Amino acid sequence: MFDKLTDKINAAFFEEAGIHIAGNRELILENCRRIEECSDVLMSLACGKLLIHIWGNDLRAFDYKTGGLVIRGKISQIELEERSPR
Amino acid sequence: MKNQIRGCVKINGTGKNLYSFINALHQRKIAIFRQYVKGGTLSAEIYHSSLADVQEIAEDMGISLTCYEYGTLSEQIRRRKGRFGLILGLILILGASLYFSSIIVAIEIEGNETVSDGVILSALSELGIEEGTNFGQINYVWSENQLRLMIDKIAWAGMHRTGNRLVVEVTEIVKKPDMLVERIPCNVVAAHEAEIISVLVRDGQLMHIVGDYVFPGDMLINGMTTDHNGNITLHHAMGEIIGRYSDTVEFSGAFTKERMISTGKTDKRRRLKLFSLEIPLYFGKNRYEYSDSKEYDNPLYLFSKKLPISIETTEYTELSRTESTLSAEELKAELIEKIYLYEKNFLSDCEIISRDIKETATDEELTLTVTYKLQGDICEQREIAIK
Repeated sequence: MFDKLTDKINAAFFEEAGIHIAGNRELILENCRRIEECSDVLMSLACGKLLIHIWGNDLRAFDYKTGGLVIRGKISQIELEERSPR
Repeated sequence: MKNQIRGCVKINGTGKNLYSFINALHQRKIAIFRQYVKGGTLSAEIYHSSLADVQEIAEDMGISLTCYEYGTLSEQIRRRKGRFGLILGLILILGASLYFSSIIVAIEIEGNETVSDGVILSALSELGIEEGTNFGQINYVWSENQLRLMIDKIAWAGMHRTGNRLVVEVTEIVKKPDMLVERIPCNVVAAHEAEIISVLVRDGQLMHIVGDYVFPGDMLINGMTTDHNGNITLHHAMGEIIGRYSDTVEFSGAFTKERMISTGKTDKRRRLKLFSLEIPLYFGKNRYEYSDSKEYDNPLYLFSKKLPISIETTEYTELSRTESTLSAEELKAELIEKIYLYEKNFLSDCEIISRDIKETATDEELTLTVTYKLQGDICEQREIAIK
């Protein structure tokens, strides 16, 4: 009951993870809470209830003070993993 | 471009709590670019303004941080912030640009043919318009009318501004041409003793034919004709009678005479010209008794535009009156040059068929006698005296 309400509030206030991909060169991620891994082949980012793994080559993270993150490089794979809320 | 203005710093961080450091930067909303971790080292780029905050966070988290600032525009400015001369120079340039954009740097006059630029400039000067006058002070309509009233030969005047130049356009009064008295009755007589080669009569009656030999004063074209009834008609005799004749000219020069010869000493006098103001950059007067002077102007250019600032240089070369003796060859060369000038100035309108140069030398002088065989117009107008 509480979880459903939280989900609805998050959706209403656009607090969920937003992902926009431009080809395999750029990925824009909204509402990124934490950076778990930030190497040039793997970026693991915690966004709401999701843990997003981005695989690729020469990956670089750009933080423009928006609460999100821009990943640029040659993206080959994106994994979305649900994580237990803390 | 953004990095050029804000300044970009490359950072490398190592330490145990590297991801806590990365997240702390993310949470503190510090702009950070090109970040990645490789071999336990974080590489990233930040703005110069964030460097102090990043260093503080790194220190709190026990991260060893190394920084390197890229050579950007802001970095260059920051490095030179103590250089007051540069700042002063920049202010001066800005000030000069502002000043020169608001005053007349040059006055250009267009459309004048008979009225000289100097007359128009002096009239404008009387109206308070000259190089250095502020554009804001000019009353264009009034000045145009005054200029037209001040100079009689101007029918219309217009002024407009083009950049920092004032363009004055004028239209002059077209004067009614004077009546030319060209048709006075006259005869055409021979100017030289010559053999007639060709004749062309435009008005009058021809008195000699091709092949005739005429003496100076002989009538070639008669301006007075009589018809069968005895009526006399007066003409302005015109035509082109080409004759072949000879002419002798003597050129002589003394072997020894006083000549002005350069001593090799020179003196340069410079003046700084600011608009119409001339500031001498020297002391005293020209001390040479005899001298030859040469003047040239070196204006200052900015983006290929001529500025009203220049250095005017007058170069004096000292001459001395020296008695010199020339050899026969040198004197002959001098006289040949005189012959060339004579031909260029006086015989340019006729054809030189041949020239014979005879040389006569005495102890004191050399004489060249030139006998020309010429072919040209031998006509000379002579008015008919009428009561």
